[in-house]
Amino acid sequence: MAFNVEMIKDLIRIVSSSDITELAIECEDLSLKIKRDTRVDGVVTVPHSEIVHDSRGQSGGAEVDIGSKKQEDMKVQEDENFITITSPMVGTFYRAPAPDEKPYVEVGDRIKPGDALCIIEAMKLMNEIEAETEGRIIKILVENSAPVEYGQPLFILEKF
Amino acid sequence: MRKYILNVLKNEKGRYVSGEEISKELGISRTAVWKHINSLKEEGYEIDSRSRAGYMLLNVPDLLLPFEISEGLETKTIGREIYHLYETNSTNDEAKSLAANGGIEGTLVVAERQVKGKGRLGRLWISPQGGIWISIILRPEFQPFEAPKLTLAAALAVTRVLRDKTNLEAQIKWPNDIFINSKKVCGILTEMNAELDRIQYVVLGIGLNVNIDLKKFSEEIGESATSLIKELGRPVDRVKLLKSILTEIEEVYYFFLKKGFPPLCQEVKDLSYTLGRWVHLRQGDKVISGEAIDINEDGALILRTKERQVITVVSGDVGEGRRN
Repeated sequence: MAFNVEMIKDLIRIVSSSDITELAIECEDLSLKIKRDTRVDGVVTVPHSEIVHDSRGQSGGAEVDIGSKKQEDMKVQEDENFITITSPMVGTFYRAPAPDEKPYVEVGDRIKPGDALCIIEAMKLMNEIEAETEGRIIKILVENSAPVEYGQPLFILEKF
Repeated sequence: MRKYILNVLKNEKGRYVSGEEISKELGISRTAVWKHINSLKEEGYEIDSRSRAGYMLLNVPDLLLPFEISEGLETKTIGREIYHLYETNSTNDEAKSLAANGGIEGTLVVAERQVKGKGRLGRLWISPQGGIWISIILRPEFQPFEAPKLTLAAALAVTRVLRDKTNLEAQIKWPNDIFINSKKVCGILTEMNAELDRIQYVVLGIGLNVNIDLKKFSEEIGESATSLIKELGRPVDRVKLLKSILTEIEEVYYFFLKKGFPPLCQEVKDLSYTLGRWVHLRQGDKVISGEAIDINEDGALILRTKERQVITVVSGDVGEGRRN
């Protein structure tokens, strides 16, 4: 069975949303260990360059830590493969067009330029925030209907 | 061309004008005249055609037809381009799609009925025949964070018109509703498409209950809403009122573009329904209560809580309440 980056990310998502603290997989061309530090809650960092897919058939060790500190979160934002989408104005963050409708996007969704991501509302002006680049939603940083500040990070997007 | 034919018929109201007369006056064939007359009829104009006698305008329908709105309208941009619809899901959605396809500043979308009119966050806004349901495309060249104040500026424009034309004491319920006698008569919903530092377009949506029989509404809405016909006891000429609204919106909008919101702030405060009241503000699951003590120059509402804490709010649902 050959692993690709997408599958690894899926595994990370499964682990991070479960009670599993450690998952190790070994197969012919890859060994992968995902550990979750349960002492710190919920920040997922994917040190992109460390995921090695060794196609020569040797064991390429990849270790991905899930659950890390705030500084590591910043590292993700600075990485050129990731884009932080920030709020263009002060207001309230809404993930769906209406309370009884599905959110515009979920973590893991592929998005393309022009896709709506969320609404920022201030004084009954609804600002629909659209994606400007193609990519995948790695993290949603704000809770639905929470107040946001100007420039506050809302999403982390992984560029394709 | 239809506009010119309509003008000829209007000038000769009560009299038949022959097709030949019109064709000579406008330099088009009689077949062309006949075709234009038919499309005017399709738009709702009642025109009688009689062989040999010609055409007579019997009645201009009580509709917000583009020719009626633009007749004598003295705005520069607002309402210069008009899309009229008998029925639509939402004028805001129509305007957004026009704007996304290059619709120019000032473009007006007007509908006789909205079947899925948008309230805030998808709440249904009931809009039957007899109201003014419009959306206007704006393309202001300021930063996106300036745009929320447009809601208040638009509310101010409509409030001015209502006070001036009907003498009713219209007031602005912060930030986007207009109240008469403590009941909602008008709602404003602004939608924006912007990049981080540049506005693509703003769609200003206004819904005004004009000649609407509130008995048709559910009891719940009937108690919290009102209409001009109910307050005045007589119907209002919707075309005239809409023209005044467009003119005033242009006035306030260009003032805002030039001088910003601060010089409008005092008037907004003077006309405020909210100031001085105890309000509950819902932000997600949280409810903040306090007395509305001020509106600042960003258009934000200032509340003073029971603990005498002063809070500035820019969003959330404002409801009135009693101080607990």
